[in-house]
Amino acid sequence: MNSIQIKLSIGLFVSLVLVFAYLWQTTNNSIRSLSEEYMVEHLKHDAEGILNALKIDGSGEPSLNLEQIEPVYLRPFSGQYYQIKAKNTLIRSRSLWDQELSMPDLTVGEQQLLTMTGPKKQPLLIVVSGFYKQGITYTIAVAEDISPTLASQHAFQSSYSYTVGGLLVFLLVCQVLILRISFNPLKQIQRQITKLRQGEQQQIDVQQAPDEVLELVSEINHLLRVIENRLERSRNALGDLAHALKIPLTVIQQLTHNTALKDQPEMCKALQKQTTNMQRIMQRVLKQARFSGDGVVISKFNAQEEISELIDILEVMHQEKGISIQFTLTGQDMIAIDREDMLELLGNLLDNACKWAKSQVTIFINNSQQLRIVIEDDGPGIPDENIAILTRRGTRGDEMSEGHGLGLSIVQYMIEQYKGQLKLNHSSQLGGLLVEVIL
Amino acid sequence: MRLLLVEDDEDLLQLLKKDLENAGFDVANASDGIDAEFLGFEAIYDCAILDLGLPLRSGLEVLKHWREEGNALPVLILTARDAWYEKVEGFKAGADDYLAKPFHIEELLMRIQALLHRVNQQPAGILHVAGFSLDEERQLVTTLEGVEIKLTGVEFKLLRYLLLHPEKIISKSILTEHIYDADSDKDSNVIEVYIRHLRRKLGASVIETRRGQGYIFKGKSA
Repeated sequence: MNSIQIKLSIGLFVSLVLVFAYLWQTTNNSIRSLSEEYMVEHLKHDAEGILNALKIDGSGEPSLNLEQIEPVYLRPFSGQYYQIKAKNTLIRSRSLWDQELSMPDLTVGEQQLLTMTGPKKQPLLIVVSGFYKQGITYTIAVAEDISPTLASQHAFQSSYSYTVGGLLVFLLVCQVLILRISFNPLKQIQRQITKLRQGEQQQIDVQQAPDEVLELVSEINHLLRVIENRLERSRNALGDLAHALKIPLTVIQQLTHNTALKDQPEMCKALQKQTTNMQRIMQRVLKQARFSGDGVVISKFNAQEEISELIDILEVMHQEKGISIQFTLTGQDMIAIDREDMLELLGNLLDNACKWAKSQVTIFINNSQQLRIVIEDDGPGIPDENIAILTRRGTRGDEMSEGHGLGLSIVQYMIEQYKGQLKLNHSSQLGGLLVEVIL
Repeated sequence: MRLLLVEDDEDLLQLLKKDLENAGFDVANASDGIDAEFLGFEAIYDCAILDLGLPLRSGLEVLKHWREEGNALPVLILTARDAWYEKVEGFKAGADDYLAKPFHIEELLMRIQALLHRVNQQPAGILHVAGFSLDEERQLVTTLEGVEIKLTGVEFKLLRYLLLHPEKIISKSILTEHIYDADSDKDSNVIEVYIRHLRRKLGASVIETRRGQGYIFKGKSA
């Protein structure tokens, strides 16, 4: 996976979640410790009040002046408790009723903070302190039910969690949207490249390109133009060369018929043979150079329209034989293969079929995921051993004798360029040759 | 039959012209596009052989101009440009046939013959009309009984024209135009002379004279 968008998404997601989790945790912790500190202060203050209410009674035992005690300590199970230990005496608040808090004995000035479960399963926070007053050491435990505090803490926690969660989701959505919007131009360019490959477009629109890739896009456009020009130029140059060379060749060929050479049959034959060879080599090289090959499609091929026209032409060309060509197309009309290449391929295949057919040729094209072309004729077909020779990989056109008259070399070359497949078979429908091309 | 041969290579032009004349055609030639276009509008040609790579005006343009003006002159394109898309372009422009260079003269003659048959609604191959078969390669005519009759050059040209237009009145001036003989004076009775020769060889009733109108090839009513 090497997508910038996905990397950014993951990076931003993880960092956002981490920041929010940290924030959530610290806020909760500080709220908890703040409320605990406050309660502890309060309990310490109460403990001092209780110490103040302690005095030695007549029997020399410590006792508590209840009038100085806050009433909440007197109501049973009110949630506020105290318990005083002094020598052998244990004084419990009335609120404790019949319960007793287990508490350690502390020396003077010592203080401990405890949590435990008290009466009625109340969670208690207890401050235990050691005091010295009037010659007696006391250990005073003051406890408070923390369940209301815990409840409000929970309430805060949950509302806070919702808020934080909501914010996190909001930020994540924002981030996804921002990424989408910023990457949209790149996606557009990607789509344009697909169109380019299918020949629906000749250049990438620079207007849509963000600054970061502007140079890249311009460079691609530049290269496209260079390729197109070069292809055009080489096609033209080769066409001109063909034109220039073919005429002298034609003249030489015609000269062999000259009456002056009638008494030199050997020479005539040699001349004819060599010129025919030259012609064949030239034709092959030119046609091969003409194919644009698998790559950027300069202009697409409209199958329905172009093939119908081609068929009209072939029917005229082979009119003496009265050939009829049946054409069936399934799938899409537009074929993403260079128009000139496609015409060359179909022209050669159909012309061959017409040459060998008695009266009927069919062409079937299925253009969906892949392009499948099947051409059948009602001619004599070719024997199996020749099928094997003709379809063997790497068999060059010039190795195949012209006698086969199949002119398949060019077709084969083009199919190789497009990394396609060529199959020859017997036509079960028409009885002649069946040529199947898959591109 | 008169052909218009348009070819800018002088050597090839001369060779082709000779071969075509040997095959019984009268050949006029042009070596650039403007000349060719002009000549093509003179309605005296039965067929044009058109090169595409011409100086001054491309063959394709010449052909398009002819067709735009409603000139139905049968055109065979003879060019070095042999890619299929170029053939398609040629036919779209209004060509009737297309032959790529280099070619064999026999192929070209066959194509011209087939094209002339086609435009005159005659089947391809040997011309069979009303009891006569014309072998255009050997320039002789065969009767139903299998008798081969040799023809002179002008007789062959004349008979071919008549056979391509059977049952139609053909005026003397049309015949003079299409069976142009460089050696004869156009105003003389040369056509009448050759018609007489043909009647002598094939039978008097074969060619009917319509006074003031022309001739009709009737053939032998079997």
